[in-house]
Amino acid sequence: MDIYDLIKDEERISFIGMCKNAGKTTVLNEVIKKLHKKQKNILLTSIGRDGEELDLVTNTKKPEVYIYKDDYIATAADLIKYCDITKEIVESTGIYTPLGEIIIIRALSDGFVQIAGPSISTQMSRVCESFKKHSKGKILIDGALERKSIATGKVSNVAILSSGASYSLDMEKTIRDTIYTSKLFSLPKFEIGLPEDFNRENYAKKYYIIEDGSLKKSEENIDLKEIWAKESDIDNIFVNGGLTDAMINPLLLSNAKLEGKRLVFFDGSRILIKYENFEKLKQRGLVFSCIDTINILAITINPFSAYGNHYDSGIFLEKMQKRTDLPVIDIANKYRS
Amino acid sequence: MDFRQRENIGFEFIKSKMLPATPFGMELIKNISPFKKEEEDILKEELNNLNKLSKKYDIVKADINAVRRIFMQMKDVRGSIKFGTENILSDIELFEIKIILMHMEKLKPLIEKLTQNLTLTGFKIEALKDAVDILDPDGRRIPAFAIYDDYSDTLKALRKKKREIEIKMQESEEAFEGLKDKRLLIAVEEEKEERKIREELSVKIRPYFGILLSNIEAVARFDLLLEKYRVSKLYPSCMPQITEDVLILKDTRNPYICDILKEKGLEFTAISIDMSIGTTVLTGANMGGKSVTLKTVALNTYLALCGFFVYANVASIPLFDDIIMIFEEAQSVNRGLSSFGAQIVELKNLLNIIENKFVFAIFDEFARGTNPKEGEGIVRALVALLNKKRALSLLVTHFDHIAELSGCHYQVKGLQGVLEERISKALLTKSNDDAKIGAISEFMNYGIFKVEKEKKPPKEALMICRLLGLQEELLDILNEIN
Repeated sequence: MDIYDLIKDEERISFIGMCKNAGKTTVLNEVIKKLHKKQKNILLTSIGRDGEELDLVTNTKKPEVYIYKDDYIATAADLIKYCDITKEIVESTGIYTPLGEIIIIRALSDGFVQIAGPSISTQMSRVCESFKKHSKGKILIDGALERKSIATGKVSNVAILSSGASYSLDMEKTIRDTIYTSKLFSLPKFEIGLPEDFNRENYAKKYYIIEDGSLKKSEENIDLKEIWAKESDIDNIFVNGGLTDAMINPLLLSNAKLEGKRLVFFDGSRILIKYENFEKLKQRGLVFSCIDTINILAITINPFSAYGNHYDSGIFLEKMQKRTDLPVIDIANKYRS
Repeated sequence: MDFRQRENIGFEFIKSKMLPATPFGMELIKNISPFKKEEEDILKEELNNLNKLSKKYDIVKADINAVRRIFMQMKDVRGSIKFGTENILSDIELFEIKIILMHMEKLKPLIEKLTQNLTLTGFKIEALKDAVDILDPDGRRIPAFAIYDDYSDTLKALRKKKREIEIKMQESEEAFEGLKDKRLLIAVEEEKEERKIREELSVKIRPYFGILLSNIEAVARFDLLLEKYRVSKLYPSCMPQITEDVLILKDTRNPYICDILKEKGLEFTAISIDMSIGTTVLTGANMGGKSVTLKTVALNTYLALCGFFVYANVASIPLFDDIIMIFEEAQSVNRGLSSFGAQIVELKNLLNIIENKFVFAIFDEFARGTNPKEGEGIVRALVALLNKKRALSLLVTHFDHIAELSGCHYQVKGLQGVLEERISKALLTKSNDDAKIGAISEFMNYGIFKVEKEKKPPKEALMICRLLGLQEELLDILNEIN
């Protein structure tokens, strides 16, 4: 499976990693290289800074992205000195991060770059809009781990998920969690119109009943177990924020009738419950849906661990592939790292 | 006047309606303050410019929109300029300076045309072509900046060499790994050469900073002028005449209060007043809007002194050194003083200032908080003293025997001239007291008028008592003892 074929029709692609050293940057480099070979330019930015792969203090092992002449980047001003391309400044965006203003630069030569983009999704949208003024190339977004949530609807529609032996000593766990993550991102979409005044202050409750496609405000706190204890007309409930195991345990222990009932989330990253609990609820007929979904194009795997416990690459690939319909790509030895 | 007072009279409201297009204009508006006596010429120039713009705005609208479009793209580069006067600028700073220089280049003919057509004065954008050329060696005038090859032959040669290696690196994985370090060495050389050029550019561009800053200042003032025009359209307005010592406002309004009333479905009654050196006293019924009058006069005077149009049909405003308002405000009570104590402290301050400065002093029910007998005495003495000073003073008071001492006396019309019969008829259909009060206020005339000397004060309080059906017993005793 050639990675270029997967992304060739997409406008914006996010790169998400399960952990450090999952090979996300390797995949990103591979995509940029493939696009360059097809004479296609890219516009590259990231969600915040890829902190977990880069140690600013010790300055060890900087994963660097190699881009080509006429590609564009959006990165924070303080990181420009680490980019060894010949630079042409084309825009100062007025978006500020702890590492300085986000600057859009056109590469006048090939070279290595370091990227720290905006960490707020509205700002990311603005950067993407600005990008479009400069080039028609594909927008690539290097997504940091802890902000998986940003790789959703507003910012990007498709993503490549990278996983690897560095995630866990236990290959089974790595596979299970990777598949779970890919499922969470690709949950069915549920359309609701969030009200214009939607914010933490106006909507402070944990759950809201969805009626006729919009949130119904009520004074009382909703208890999932009670509301679905008997036959109920209430089918869809919006979860305002994250869903944890503690919140879901009473429901699991109850006899609530969950067949055909649905929980709606902002996006898959809000589902923080254990995989077992997720499966149990699904088996009882509960449907998980998201307002923003993201289409995972492929899972890449890296059998090499930064901590020494490498997996057998053949078994890893086979087991992972068995659990998903998505293409699984082994990056070991295949791509420049 | 502090922020709270400016907010109270409605000046901050006017500011909030201004939508400057540049960060420079925004800053000017944020810090706006009255012109000083020695700035009279500048104030008059500002008002004249505004007047000319106002008269021909529709004719030059297209050009103004073109100017605003450029304004909206301007970023505040003054930080970079300041940094650059002593330091070496980064690529980003050079980029931003180049962009603003290019904006200025585009603005220059537009502003020139406008100032010519409108005969405006004081808005000069000076040419900076040489400065732009430094940052745009090939003259393409595109909004981007790089340390261009044209700056040095060494740089050009290094980049050519680097490029050749990069192309080879693209051939294969082995080539990439094999040539990576070689490329890096040239990239380091390139960076060294770029640094040298950055330093040269910083030094070369520095001498133009003075002109650039004065251009920015002109942009800021032009932006402000456009916004002054914008708010002049909120309600009918006119150019104020700046006078020696006469204050005239004909049919004046306060947009802040107008808007509040509008929300309640009510209309603001325009006020006319003229004052000269000495004291002017305003009296009148409760519910009559005396405070509104004070705020309206204060606001429009303040606007004129800041070079705005005045919300009136005719306006003459003296160039005061200071407008001092002594209002009973919660703020002074918060400072731990009783409201009376706070007012006395403010008065002390005012009487000091009044000796050396030309002041407009405004009092809202001064000494109301103390006992009426002493209060009246104090206000009488105050009026007598202020009569002797070269200042304009406007006082609202409830006390008797104040107006007779003042140079001029205004009264809120209130219910005067309205037959009691007519009001009581209207009240017949009103069931509760709130509705009755509402109905009475509909008859209330909020205008003010000049009272001839010797005229008896109106007896409206009693009429309101009767209309609202206060117990006969009390009213009878009232008549009896008075």
